[in-house]
Amino acid sequence: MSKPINLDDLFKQARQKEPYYGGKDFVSRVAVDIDRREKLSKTKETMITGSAAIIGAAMTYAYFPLEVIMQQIPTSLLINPMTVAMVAGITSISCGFAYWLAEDKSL
Amino acid sequence: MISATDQALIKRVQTLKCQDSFSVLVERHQSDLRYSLRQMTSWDEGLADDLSQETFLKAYQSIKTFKGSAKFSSWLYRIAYNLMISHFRVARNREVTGIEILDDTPSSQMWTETSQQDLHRDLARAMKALPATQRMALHLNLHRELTHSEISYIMEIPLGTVKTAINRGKITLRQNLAGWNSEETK
Repeated sequence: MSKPINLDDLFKQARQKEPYYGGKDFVSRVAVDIDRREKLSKTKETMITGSAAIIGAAMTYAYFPLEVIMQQIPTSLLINPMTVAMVAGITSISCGFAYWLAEDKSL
Repeated sequence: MISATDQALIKRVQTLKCQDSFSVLVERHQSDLRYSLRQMTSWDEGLADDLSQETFLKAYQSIKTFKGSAKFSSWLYRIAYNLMISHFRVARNREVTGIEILDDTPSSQMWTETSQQDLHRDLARAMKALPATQRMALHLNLHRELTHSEISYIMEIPLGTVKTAINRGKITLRQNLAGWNSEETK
Protein backbone atom coordinates (compact mmCIF):
# COMPACT_ATOMS: atom_id res chain seq x y z
CA MET A 1 0.00 0.00 0.00
CA SER A 2 1.46 3.39 -0.98
CA LYS A 3 1.92 5.95 1.80
CA PRO A 4 -0.38 9.00 1.68
CA ILE A 5 1.06 11.96 -0.19
CA ASN A 6 2.43 14.84 1.86
CA LEU A 7 0.88 17.91 0.26
CA ASP A 8 3.08 20.37 2.13
CA ASP A 9 6.20 18.69 0.76
CA LEU A 10 4.71 18.43 -2.70
CA PHE A 11 3.83 22.11 -2.87
CA LYS A 12 7.20 23.02 -1.39
CA GLN A 13 8.83 21.06 -4.18
CA ALA A 14 6.62 22.80 -6.76
CA ARG A 15 7.48 26.19 -5.25
CA GLN A 16 11.19 25.50 -5.42
CA LYS A 17 10.97 24.26 -9.00
CA GLU A 18 8.57 27.00 -10.15
CA PRO A 19 9.65 28.20 -13.58
CA TYR A 20 10.28 31.89 -14.23
CA TYR A 21 8.51 33.21 -17.29
CA GLY A 22 10.46 35.84 -19.18
CA GLY A 23 8.42 38.99 -19.19
CA LYS A 24 9.69 41.10 -22.14
CA ASP A 25 7.13 39.89 -24.69
CA PHE A 26 4.37 39.75 -22.15
CA VAL A 27 5.05 43.27 -20.88
CA SER A 28 5.06 44.71 -24.40
CA ARG A 29 1.83 42.86 -25.22
CA VAL A 30 0.19 44.40 -22.14
CA ALA A 31 1.53 47.87 -23.04
CA VAL A 32 0.21 47.60 -26.61
CA ASP A 33 -3.17 46.47 -25.33
CA ILE A 34 -3.33 49.35 -22.85
CA ASP A 35 -2.57 51.83 -25.66
CA ARG A 36 -5.19 50.26 -27.91
CA ARG A 37 -7.88 50.42 -25.24
CA GLU A 38 -6.95 53.96 -24.23
CA LYS A 39 -7.30 55.08 -27.85
CA LEU A 40 -10.58 53.23 -28.12
CA SER A 41 -11.95 54.85 -24.99
CA LYS A 42 -10.81 58.29 -26.19
CA THR A 43 -12.54 57.72 -29.56
CA LYS A 44 -15.67 56.59 -27.75
CA GLU A 45 -15.52 59.63 -25.48
CA THR A 46 -15.07 61.96 -28.47
CA MET A 47 -17.98 60.36 -30.27
CA ILE A 48 -20.25 60.69 -27.25
CA THR A 49 -19.23 64.31 -26.67
CA GLY A 50 -19.57 65.10 -30.40
CA SER A 51 -23.01 63.53 -30.60
CA ALA A 52 -24.17 65.40 -27.51
CA ALA A 53 -22.84 68.65 -28.97
CA ILE A 54 -24.64 68.10 -32.28
CA ILE A 55 -27.92 67.24 -30.56
CA GLY A 56 -27.49 70.23 -28.26
CA ALA A 57 -26.75 72.54 -31.18
CA ALA A 58 -29.74 71.25 -33.12
CA MET A 59 -32.07 71.78 -30.17
CA THR A 60 -30.64 75.21 -29.50
CA TYR A 61 -31.03 76.18 -33.13
CA ALA A 62 -34.65 75.06 -33.09
CA TYR A 63 -35.66 76.89 -29.91
CA PHE A 64 -33.21 79.76 -29.59
CA PRO A 65 -34.36 83.21 -30.83
CA LEU A 66 -31.32 83.50 -33.08
CA GLU A 67 -32.71 86.29 -35.26
CA VAL A 68 -33.44 88.51 -32.26
CA ILE A 69 -29.89 88.07 -31.02
CA MET A 70 -28.45 88.69 -34.47
CA GLN A 71 -30.36 91.97 -34.69
CA GLN A 72 -28.74 93.10 -31.47
CA ILE A 73 -25.23 92.74 -32.82
CA PRO A 74 -23.97 96.26 -33.64
CA THR A 75 -23.20 96.94 -37.27
CA SER A 76 -20.51 99.46 -36.43
CA LEU A 77 -17.84 99.34 -33.73
CA LEU A 78 -16.81 102.35 -31.74
CA ILE A 79 -13.32 102.12 -30.33
CA ASN A 80 -12.78 104.22 -27.23
CA PRO A 81 -10.58 103.75 -24.12
CA MET A 82 -13.34 101.81 -22.32
CA THR A 83 -13.65 99.32 -25.21
CA VAL A 84 -9.88 98.79 -25.29
CA ALA A 85 -9.79 98.22 -21.52
CA MET A 86 -12.68 95.77 -21.74
CA VAL A 87 -11.08 93.78 -24.58
CA ALA A 88 -7.76 93.68 -22.70
CA GLY A 89 -9.53 92.48 -19.55
CA ILE A 90 -11.45 89.72 -21.33
CA THR A 91 -8.27 88.59 -23.13
CA SER A 92 -6.33 88.42 -19.85
CA ILE A 93 -9.05 86.39 -18.15
CA SER A 94 -9.24 84.00 -21.16
CA CYS A 95 -5.45 83.55 -21.20
CA GLY A 96 -5.39 82.93 -17.46
CA PHE A 97 -8.15 80.33 -17.76
CA ALA A 98 -6.39 78.60 -20.69
CA TYR A 99 -3.15 78.47 -18.68
CA TRP A 100 -4.94 76.98 -15.68
CA LEU A 101 -6.54 74.32 -17.89
CA ALA A 102 -3.18 73.45 -19.45
CA GLU A 103 -1.50 73.09 -16.06
CA ASP A 104 -4.25 70.98 -14.54
CA LYS A 105 -2.87 67.42 -14.74
CA SER A 106 -6.21 65.80 -14.03
CA LEU A 107 -7.61 66.94 -17.36
CA MET B 1 13.33 52.58 -11.59
CA ILE B 2 13.59 48.80 -11.28
CA SER B 3 14.40 49.02 -7.56
CA ALA B 4 11.47 51.29 -6.74
CA THR B 5 8.92 49.79 -4.39
CA ASP B 6 5.53 48.67 -5.63
CA GLN B 7 3.95 51.45 -3.63
CA ALA B 8 6.08 54.14 -5.27
CA LEU B 9 5.37 52.78 -8.73
CA ILE B 10 1.64 52.55 -8.05
CA LYS B 11 1.65 56.16 -6.85
CA ARG B 12 3.25 57.22 -10.14
CA VAL B 13 0.68 55.31 -12.16
CA GLN B 14 -2.17 56.72 -10.10
CA THR B 15 -1.08 60.34 -10.30
CA LEU B 16 0.74 60.55 -13.64
CA LYS B 17 -0.69 57.56 -15.50
CA CYS B 18 2.95 56.57 -16.01
CA GLN B 19 2.93 53.53 -18.28
CA ASP B 20 6.65 52.85 -17.75
CA SER B 21 6.06 52.43 -14.03
CA PHE B 22 3.18 50.12 -14.74
CA SER B 23 5.39 48.08 -17.06
CA VAL B 24 7.85 47.60 -14.20
CA LEU B 25 4.99 46.34 -12.04
CA VAL B 26 3.90 43.96 -14.80
CA GLU B 27 7.45 42.69 -15.26
CA ARG B 28 7.74 42.13 -11.51
CA HIS B 29 4.49 40.22 -11.00
CA GLN B 30 3.77 38.54 -14.33
CA SER B 31 5.68 35.33 -13.79
CA ASP B 32 3.99 34.45 -10.50
CA LEU B 33 0.57 35.30 -11.86
CA ARG B 34 1.07 33.36 -15.09
CA TYR B 35 2.23 30.31 -13.15
CA SER B 36 -0.70 30.51 -10.73
CA LEU B 37 -3.17 30.80 -13.56
CA ARG B 38 -1.60 27.81 -15.28
CA GLN B 39 -2.24 25.86 -12.08
CA MET B 40 -5.81 27.13 -12.01
CA THR B 41 -6.56 26.30 -15.66
CA SER B 42 -5.17 22.76 -15.76
CA TRP B 43 -2.04 24.09 -17.40
CA ASP B 44 -3.80 25.72 -20.34
CA GLU B 45 -0.96 28.09 -21.20
CA GLY B 46 -2.89 30.14 -23.76
CA LEU B 47 -5.83 30.70 -21.47
CA ALA B 48 -3.58 31.42 -18.48
CA ASP B 49 -1.65 34.08 -20.41
CA ASP B 50 -4.83 35.63 -21.79
CA LEU B 51 -6.28 35.86 -18.29
CA SER B 52 -3.01 37.30 -16.96
CA GLN B 53 -3.00 39.95 -19.69
CA GLU B 54 -6.61 40.83 -18.97
CA THR B 55 -5.77 41.02 -15.26
CA PHE B 56 -3.05 43.61 -15.84
CA LEU B 57 -5.31 45.62 -18.16
CA LYS B 58 -8.05 45.67 -15.56
CA ALA B 59 -5.49 46.58 -12.92
CA TYR B 60 -4.27 49.53 -15.01
CA GLN B 61 -7.79 50.75 -15.69
CA SER B 62 -8.83 50.61 -12.05
CA ILE B 63 -5.54 51.41 -10.34
CA LYS B 64 -7.04 54.53 -8.81
CA THR B 65 -9.27 52.31 -6.69
CA PHE B 66 -6.23 50.54 -5.19
CA LYS B 67 -5.88 52.00 -1.71
CA GLY B 68 -2.85 50.03 -0.58
CA SER B 69 -4.58 48.27 2.31
CA ALA B 70 -3.55 44.92 0.79
CA LYS B 71 -0.42 43.90 -1.12
CA PHE B 72 -0.44 44.76 -4.82
CA SER B 73 0.03 41.07 -5.63
CA SER B 74 -3.05 40.18 -3.56
CA TRP B 75 -5.03 42.80 -5.41
CA LEU B 76 -3.85 41.34 -8.71
CA TYR B 77 -4.87 37.85 -7.60
CA ARG B 78 -8.26 39.21 -6.64
CA ILE B 79 -8.78 40.59 -10.15
CA ALA B 80 -7.41 37.41 -11.73
CA TYR B 81 -9.69 35.20 -9.63
CA ASN B 82 -12.78 37.18 -10.61
CA LEU B 83 -11.80 37.07 -14.28
CA MET B 84 -11.18 33.34 -14.06
CA ILE B 85 -14.55 32.72 -12.43
CA SER B 86 -16.30 34.81 -15.11
CA HIS B 87 -14.44 32.99 -17.84
CA PHE B 88 -15.40 29.57 -16.50
CA ARG B 89 -18.99 30.69 -16.01
CA VAL B 90 -19.24 31.79 -19.64
CA ALA B 91 -17.48 28.63 -20.79
CA ARG B 92 -19.82 26.47 -18.71
CA ASN B 93 -22.81 28.24 -20.20
CA ARG B 94 -21.43 27.43 -23.61
CA GLU B 95 -20.97 23.86 -22.46
CA VAL B 96 -17.37 23.87 -23.52
CA THR B 97 -15.87 23.34 -20.11
CA GLY B 98 -16.76 23.86 -16.48
CA ILE B 99 -15.21 24.96 -13.26
CA GLU B 100 -16.51 21.99 -11.35
CA ILE B 101 -15.78 19.00 -13.50
CA LEU B 102 -16.16 16.56 -10.67
CA ASP B 103 -16.25 13.49 -12.87
CA ASP B 104 -12.89 14.37 -14.34
CA THR B 105 -10.93 12.97 -11.42
CA PRO B 106 -7.58 11.80 -12.70
CA SER B 107 -6.98 8.11 -12.24
CA SER B 108 -3.91 6.84 -10.44
CA GLN B 109 -3.01 5.02 -13.66
CA MET B 110 -2.50 8.37 -15.36
CA TRP B 111 0.69 9.19 -13.45
CA THR B 112 2.44 5.86 -13.89
CA GLU B 113 1.83 5.82 -17.63
CA THR B 114 3.69 9.08 -18.11
CA SER B 115 7.36 8.33 -18.46
CA GLN B 116 8.57 11.90 -17.97
CA GLN B 117 6.40 13.33 -15.27
CA ASP B 118 6.23 17.04 -14.78
CA LEU B 119 5.42 18.08 -11.26
CA HIS B 120 3.69 21.32 -12.23
CA ARG B 121 1.49 19.83 -14.93
CA ASP B 122 0.61 16.82 -12.81
CA LEU B 123 -0.34 19.06 -9.94
CA ALA B 124 -2.47 21.23 -12.24
CA ARG B 125 -4.13 18.12 -13.64
CA ALA B 126 -4.88 16.81 -10.16
CA MET B 127 -6.25 20.21 -9.10
CA LYS B 128 -8.58 20.25 -12.09
CA ALA B 129 -10.96 17.94 -10.28
CA LEU B 130 -11.44 20.46 -7.47
CA PRO B 131 -14.06 23.18 -7.55
CA ALA B 132 -12.53 26.57 -8.43
CA THR B 133 -12.89 27.87 -4.86
CA GLN B 134 -10.95 24.94 -3.36
CA ARG B 135 -8.40 25.02 -6.16
CA MET B 136 -7.62 28.68 -5.66
CA ALA B 137 -7.65 28.55 -1.85
CA LEU B 138 -5.35 25.53 -1.85
CA HIS B 139 -2.93 27.04 -4.33
CA LEU B 140 -2.73 30.37 -2.52
CA ASN B 141 -2.27 28.68 0.83
CA LEU B 142 0.11 25.85 0.00
CA HIS B 143 2.01 27.25 -2.96
CA ARG B 144 1.98 31.01 -2.40
CA GLU B 145 1.95 30.58 1.38
CA LEU B 146 -0.64 33.28 1.91
CA THR B 147 -2.51 33.58 5.19
CA HIS B 148 -6.18 32.72 5.50
CA SER B 149 -7.10 36.38 5.81
CA GLU B 150 -5.17 37.25 2.64
CA ILE B 151 -6.99 34.47 0.81
CA SER B 152 -10.26 35.71 2.25
CA TYR B 153 -9.50 39.17 0.80
CA ILE B 154 -8.53 37.79 -2.60
CA MET B 155 -11.50 35.48 -2.98
CA GLU B 156 -13.95 37.75 -1.19
CA ILE B 157 -15.23 34.93 1.02
CA PRO B 158 -15.39 34.62 4.84
CA LEU B 159 -12.44 33.17 6.77
CA GLY B 160 -14.43 30.09 7.77
CA THR B 161 -15.18 29.32 4.13
CA VAL B 162 -11.48 29.65 3.29
CA LYS B 163 -10.54 27.12 5.96
CA THR B 164 -13.26 24.71 4.84
CA ALA B 165 -12.22 25.05 1.19
CA ILE B 166 -8.59 24.32 2.06
CA ASN B 167 -9.42 21.29 4.21
CA ARG B 168 -11.81 19.80 1.67
CA GLY B 169 -9.40 20.56 -1.15
CA LYS B 170 -6.59 18.77 0.65
CA ILE B 171 -8.69 15.64 1.12
CA THR B 172 -9.73 15.50 -2.53
CA LEU B 173 -6.26 16.32 -3.80
CA ARG B 174 -4.71 13.56 -1.67
CA GLN B 175 -7.18 11.10 -3.18
CA ASN B 176 -6.44 12.35 -6.70
CA LEU B 177 -2.72 12.07 -6.21
CA ALA B 178 -2.82 8.56 -4.78
CA GLY B 179 -0.42 6.46 -6.75
CA TRP B 180 1.52 9.46 -7.96
CA ASN B 181 5.24 9.13 -7.43
CA SER B 182 7.01 12.40 -6.66
CA GLU B 183 10.41 10.73 -7.18
CA GLU B 184 9.73 10.52 -10.91
CA THR B 185 9.17 14.20 -11.37
CA LYS B 186 11.69 16.18 -13.35
